[in-house]
Amino acid sequence: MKRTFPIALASAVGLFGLVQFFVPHRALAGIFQELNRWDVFVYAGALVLGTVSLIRHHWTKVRRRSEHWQYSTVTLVSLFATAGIGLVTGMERGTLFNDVFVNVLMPLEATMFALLAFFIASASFRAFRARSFEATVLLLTAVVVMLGRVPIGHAISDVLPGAADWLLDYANTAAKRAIMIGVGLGIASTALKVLLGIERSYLGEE
Amino acid sequence: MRALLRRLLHLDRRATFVIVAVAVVAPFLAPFGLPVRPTDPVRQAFAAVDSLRGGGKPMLLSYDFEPGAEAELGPAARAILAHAFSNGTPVVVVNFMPAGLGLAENDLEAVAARYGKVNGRDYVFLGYNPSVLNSLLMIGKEIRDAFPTDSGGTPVDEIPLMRGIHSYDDFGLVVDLSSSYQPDYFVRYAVGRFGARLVIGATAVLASDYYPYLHAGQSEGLIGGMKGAAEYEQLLVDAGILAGLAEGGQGMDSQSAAHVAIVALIVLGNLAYLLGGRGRRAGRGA
Repeated sequence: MKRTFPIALASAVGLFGLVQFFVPHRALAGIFQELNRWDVFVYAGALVLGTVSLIRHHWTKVRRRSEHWQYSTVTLVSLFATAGIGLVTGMERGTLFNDVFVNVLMPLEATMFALLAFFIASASFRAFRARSFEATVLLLTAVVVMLGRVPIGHAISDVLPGAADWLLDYANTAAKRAIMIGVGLGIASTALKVLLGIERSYLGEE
Repeated sequence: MRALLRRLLHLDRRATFVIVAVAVVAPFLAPFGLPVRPTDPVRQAFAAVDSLRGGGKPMLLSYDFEPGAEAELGPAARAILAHAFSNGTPVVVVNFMPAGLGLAENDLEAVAARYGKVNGRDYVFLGYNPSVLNSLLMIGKEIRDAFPTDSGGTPVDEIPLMRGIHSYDDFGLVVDLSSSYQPDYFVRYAVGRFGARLVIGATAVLASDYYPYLHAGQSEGLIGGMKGAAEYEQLLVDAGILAGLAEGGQGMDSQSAAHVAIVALIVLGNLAYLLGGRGRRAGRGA
């Protein structure tokens, strides 16, 4: 029962989702809409669960004085301070919460993202080598797309943007389509296995 | 020469950081003013937004990026909002990423103020919903089920702009600006199931993923990264909506210089590898 009921429930809900897609009856559409509304609560619950888990994880690190516990203190103080400010002042423009968002979070996240440019440049210089035919093709493609996709590509030669567009429109699209078709078939087969109760890893089974 | 190339193989990584930093910062201090030429995917996106001219059906704009991608997608969002507002197109904004909430609110209010637009009449921000998949399915039937109030807590039924707006059929166009996986859901559900018209805006690294949708007609246009935003701004300038290029266009010199610097580093690294010390493992990690 402990295993059969969840499997039967997952199959029933999954089959319902499948049937209602092909049967546009108002009653089925209404039930499906209601199920979607319930699902939003599940997602919201996951956010709460994630927050609780984050607090527990960092609180344990602080309490045990684990390695780098100081960073966990910063995380916890930032979390509670930001949430507290938001609850007290609201989140609209002109509030302290919005000022924290614009002047602290935005520059921090932008900085983290911007660091990528430096690491990519350094890694490209050290590791992007024409060691084989395939690596050389990859390297030439990268150079053409990098130069062809910025305005300086036009200034160097009109061939570069054209070549970059060709690579994106044909080579890239063909490869992406192949991957998407593969992924689609994989999703369909996994969904079928879940509906038939063959795939049970979502229950925590191996 | 060989000795020089061999030394280059062991170039301190901090030197590459300095080269990139100079390439990124210098063009902001001394711009070259490289012309921006709009590409077809961005022209198509512009045409799709322009087709709503005259204040008929509103545009549904999904703000699905967080501050890390603001530099890439923020300029595109502001350009699209400027385009819509200048054309008299009402805009309904939603958001499926929690930290995107503040970005959407700030941009929307700033651009709306520039064009004298009123909240609730010309635009509305319906806020955040944690489930993109379910929300997109619900909007297919009734948007109020996914977003019962706006971000300020006003019930949707009390918002003048939302009168008569229930599903994708009531929107002239859906625009998704995303730094993540959301456009896939928009294509599968909003377009595939409910027949919505869609334009995708994505970070440059993700934009190549959406070319199949563009070529299949599932997305009417594609705005890729800051370059896409710059092209959109150029089209706004050409249409007389903007006086000059905004953040996207201003970042193009910097992006061009950074790309040239990285390509030059790759070429130098390969020359050193091929002529100076082939087969040897060079330097430390990234």
